Amino acid sequence: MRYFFRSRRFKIFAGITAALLVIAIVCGAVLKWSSPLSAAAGAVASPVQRFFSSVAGGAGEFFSNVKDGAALRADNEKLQQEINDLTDKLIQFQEMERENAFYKDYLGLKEEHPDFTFQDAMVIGRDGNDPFGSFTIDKGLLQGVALHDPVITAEGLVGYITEASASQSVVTTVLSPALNASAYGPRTKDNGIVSGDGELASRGLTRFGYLSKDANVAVGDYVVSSGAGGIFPAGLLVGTVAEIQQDPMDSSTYAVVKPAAALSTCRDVMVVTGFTGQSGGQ
Amino acid sequence: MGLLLSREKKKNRVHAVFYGGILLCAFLLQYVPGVLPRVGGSGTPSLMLLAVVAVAMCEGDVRGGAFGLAAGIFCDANAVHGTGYYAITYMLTGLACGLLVTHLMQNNLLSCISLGIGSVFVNLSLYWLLFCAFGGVGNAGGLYVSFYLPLMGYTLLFLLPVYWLVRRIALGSKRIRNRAKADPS
Repeated sequence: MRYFFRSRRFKIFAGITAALLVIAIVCGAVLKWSSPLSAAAGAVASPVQRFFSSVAGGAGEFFSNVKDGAALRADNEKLQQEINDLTDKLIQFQEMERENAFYKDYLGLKEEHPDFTFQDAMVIGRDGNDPFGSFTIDKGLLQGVALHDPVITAEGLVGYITEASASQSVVTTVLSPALNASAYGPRTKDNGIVSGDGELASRGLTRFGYLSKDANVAVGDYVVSSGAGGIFPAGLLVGTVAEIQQDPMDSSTYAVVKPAAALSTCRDVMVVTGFTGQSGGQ
Repeated sequence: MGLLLSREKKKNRVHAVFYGGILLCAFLLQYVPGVLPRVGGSGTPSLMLLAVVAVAMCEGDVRGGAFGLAAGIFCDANAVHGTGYYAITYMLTGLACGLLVTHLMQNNLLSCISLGIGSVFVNLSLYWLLFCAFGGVGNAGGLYVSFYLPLMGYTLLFLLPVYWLVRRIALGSKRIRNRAKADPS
């Protein structure tokens, strides 16, 4: 040990320590700037430090994103679920709004005809080969629909049931020659029969024929069911007179009627399952 | 061979499912309101009839007739005239097309066009004859020109796509059957 303190190695270490102390005292206390050695070391180390600092910062950011990303994803899924629930509720609300508007239209009709019993139905299919616009509804015998029940919309008469099975029925419209509805014009009290015609059906019109010779029906007049025959109740609007024509076969007069109901586009209809004066067993 | 045949049976079942899918798609496209535009206010193309013709050409008389019967039953559910009318006419159409292709014609594009035009013309004209002309509809002749002729043209627009689809399915299954017969081991 004694020999170490006397050795050359100790003397070198002591000299260096002393020099550093002197430089530190001189630069720090007297000159107030960092020692040249520190500056030189900093100059060398700084770029390396900068490089590793940026790597460490990037890595930190990466792991931070991973940690936050999982939380953000969870929030996102929760919000998406809320959006889906709200969308379902919105759809239900819109459906209820539509049904409400649909039933409101029929409220007036029900108040006018308290004896009517209704069954609402939806159009589920249209026969593409039939030029008279017949269609299928989603109600049948099990829901109280019967053969020859009138079918209406809030605007007016659509037709009647010509085929009824357990859960669906086929409706023949007022454009068809198979339908014969006794009707009259409220203004002139002229009686006649509403029935379809091949040429008129392609234009979306029907025929109010068998008018008397002195009939005074004019363009714009309403045509309303008279209730005779027991198939259609009285007072249902069939349409408005669009033209007055002469039948070339027998020189009688007939009126071309534009149906009040939107026959080719209606989606929801009402089947009148019962009314006062309805004939049964047909 | 037993394993190949059971594989063939499975493929045939899948093949039958595809034909059922074609039937359902044609039915929905033809009858559901608002899917296809309408001609003359209410006319939609008779896609079911085209499917019957195509299947009969690819599968023969018996299977074509059976497919026609199934298609006709679906159509009768929505028909305004005559329960059973479409079942009978489509079954006979399938049978006739199948027999013609089996014994007299080849299953190619020209036969498809001829049989398609013939079937559509005969079926729609028969419908018009029975339910409009003989049914006492006023101005039936005018109705034929203004409604049924355009409807025939509209229907025939879909003939080639339907035939192509059915042929793809039929060829796929025939390849399986031929492979099973050629390699019984």
